Amino acid sequence: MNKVKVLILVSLTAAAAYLSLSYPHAPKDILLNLRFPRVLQGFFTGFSLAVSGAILQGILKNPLADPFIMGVSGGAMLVLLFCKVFSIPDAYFLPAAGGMAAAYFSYIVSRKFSGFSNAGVILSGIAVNAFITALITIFVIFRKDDLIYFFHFSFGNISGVNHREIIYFSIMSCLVFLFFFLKRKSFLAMAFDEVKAVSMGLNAEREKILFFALASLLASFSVGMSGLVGFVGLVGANLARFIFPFSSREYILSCGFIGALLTVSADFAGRAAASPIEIPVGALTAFLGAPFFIYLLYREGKR
Amino acid sequence: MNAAELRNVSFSYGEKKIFDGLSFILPENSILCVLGPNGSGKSTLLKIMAGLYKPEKGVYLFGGQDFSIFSLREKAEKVAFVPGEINTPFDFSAMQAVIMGRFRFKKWWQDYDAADENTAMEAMKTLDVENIASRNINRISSGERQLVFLSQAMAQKAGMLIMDEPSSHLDIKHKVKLFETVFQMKKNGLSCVYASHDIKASLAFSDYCLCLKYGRLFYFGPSCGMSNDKLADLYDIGDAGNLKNFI
Amino acid sequence: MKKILPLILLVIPIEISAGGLAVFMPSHAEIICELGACGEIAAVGAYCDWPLEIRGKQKIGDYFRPDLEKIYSLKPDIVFLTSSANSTAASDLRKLNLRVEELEPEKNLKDICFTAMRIGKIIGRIEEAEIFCAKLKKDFSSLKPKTRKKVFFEIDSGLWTSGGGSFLNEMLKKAGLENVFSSRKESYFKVSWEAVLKENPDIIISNYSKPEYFYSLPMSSKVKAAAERKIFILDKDLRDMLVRPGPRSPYAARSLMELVNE
Repeated sequence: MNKVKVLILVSLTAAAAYLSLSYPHAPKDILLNLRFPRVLQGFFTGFSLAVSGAILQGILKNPLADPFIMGVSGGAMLVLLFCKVFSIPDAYFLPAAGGMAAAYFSYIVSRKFSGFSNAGVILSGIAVNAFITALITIFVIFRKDDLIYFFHFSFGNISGVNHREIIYFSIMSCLVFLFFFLKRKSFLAMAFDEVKAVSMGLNAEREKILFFALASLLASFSVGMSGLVGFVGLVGANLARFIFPFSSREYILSCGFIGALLTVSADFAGRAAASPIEIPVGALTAFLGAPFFIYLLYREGKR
Repeated sequence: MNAAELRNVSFSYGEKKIFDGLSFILPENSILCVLGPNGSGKSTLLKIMAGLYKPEKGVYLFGGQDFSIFSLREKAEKVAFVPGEINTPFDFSAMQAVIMGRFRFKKWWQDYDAADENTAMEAMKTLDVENIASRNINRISSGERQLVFLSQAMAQKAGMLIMDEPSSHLDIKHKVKLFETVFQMKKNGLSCVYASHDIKASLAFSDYCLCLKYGRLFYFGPSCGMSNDKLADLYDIGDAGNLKNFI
Repeated sequence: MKKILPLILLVIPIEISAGGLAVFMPSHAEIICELGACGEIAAVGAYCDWPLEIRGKQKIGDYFRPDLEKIYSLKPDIVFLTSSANSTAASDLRKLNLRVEELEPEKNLKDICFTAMRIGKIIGRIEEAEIFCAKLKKDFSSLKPKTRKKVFFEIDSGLWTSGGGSFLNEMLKKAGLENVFSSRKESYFKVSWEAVLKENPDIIISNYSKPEYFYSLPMSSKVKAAAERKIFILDKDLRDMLVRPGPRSPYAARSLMELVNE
């Protein structure tokens, strides 16, 4: 039964991608050079963010965790800020590295003060994000011209990404996903009960660090390349859990596809709604995701 | 060879000392019940014996060796621990929970297979919960949950089973099943340690009894040696005569 | 008495002394100086930087976050602002019992004169305003671009542009440029590179992005502007001048025309 659901999901995503590629109609060279890379970037951005969210929600045993919870978005923005100040071109791997560094910093802080407890991680991530956001706010007060840049960054942008970088990103996302899939047993044990996991032979602390690193990696690269595409990381995994059992084999894959579907659809809607005006993808992911999420909550309440 | 031995073990949670200089020897292939009022350190003792905590002072020996030198997998081979409470917001089916007990047998990239599923099913059958194998653990009764978690520990096939309040939510039928299973385990050469408030059953089914009263070793010896008077003293019950109604 | 005085000032244009003028918008400051009343300006908004004598004046914050304390302490006779629904500056200042003159934002080139005349009336420089208007008209009409070229104008990086109906659009027209997205009336929006390719502009102008950025975009060779190396990045002065409806506007249009025709 689950396999059928996955098939439907994959078909829906393919349909969204197909729609996005065909409308508005464009000649072949534009499709190949512009439209297709954009859809691909949208797919993998949504996929990575949703999988990252799923990993974090499982490890932190908190359905409200999202990929930016460890300060990844703040770290990326901080690096972009430095690039602006010192006029360094902001290649995507710089903000990605910034995101990873912020996540690492959150980990160190939470480890020092709370022994790496789940609540501690969330709190330190919030603190890191808030601090960096404050820094950025102060910065843009003095450099008004850069305000608009950060403003745009917070909406996400999946177009105009270098083709080679998209390939790297896709490969990385797939590899991380495959590795994570192999480590499913540990993930499930951690999401079940950490104490029990240790007594079953799992090094809970080491596994937790590993999963955080994987989730941060996915989120950092998404942010570095596509800016902040909000809501997908949070909603992808939650939606998936309405349709697939958490411990099913298909769960994580479906998280990824739901995230991809959401992002590709949002991008399509953003382009088609008021052509040639383009509504940034991040503005639409919440717009599309939230009502559907509420509908599912309503159905859940009725059960 | 002894199953387990504590020599002069002390343990604290931060500033608070739980116990100091605790010592006892548990012979092989025996069942130990741990009694005492709440807050006496029963859970902590069980966790030390499961290798989840390391003694501050003194040493915990398992099968004659210092338990702390074993790797996590080796520990999992020797001891299976069932905590008092397991809470997860996610939906696992009973089968998926029980099959996790097979973790130590798999390589990191391997997934559970049909053989694991069989072992899991066997464990559930022993505890009479095979019929809820596909049910969501968050939607079954707390008693059924406890039996599922017990099945999970059994699927681990460790030499010693350590349980924290295993019978607290069970109805009489399942309580009987639980203690009978424990007894059967002993017959199969395994040992078992559990903390419980089910005093009569605990004493009836165990060989040895360890009583902790607020961190002090109140009594350690054969279970039959625990009289009603001693129990009244342990739990600070004024009139030992009343106890007859409960145990 | 407090209410009558400003009324008298409105009806009878008299020379303002003492308190002076507080001016937020750079364009208004430029106009006031052009009318010869630079000396009467007591304080300016954060982005006012021309003419040079303005730079030394007291700064009073910007339009969205005026430094109310500073303004109040200077007790200007008049505060000049652009009327806008987005800022409470006007009402905040009126609460301090200051006289606030709100001027409508300019939509086209004629509006520059309209603003100048209003300012002239308020500060008693009507004659100077009329001279300014005449000169403006002459300077604009002497600008005769030889050809009309299609332009994509990137206001902010990431392909953010402006539609028809904005002041910038009118300036572009004056310089002989036609905004490829003028059919949209929104004044600030993002477009896809695909849309730009479809329009195939002859020229691309950007406020912040270097030409190399556009050359690096996929299929850039298909755009006429890229193929003919007609991609320009504006320097700060020209960038500012183009969006300040004031005395330098004809010069800005001419500079732009020369830039793209070189």
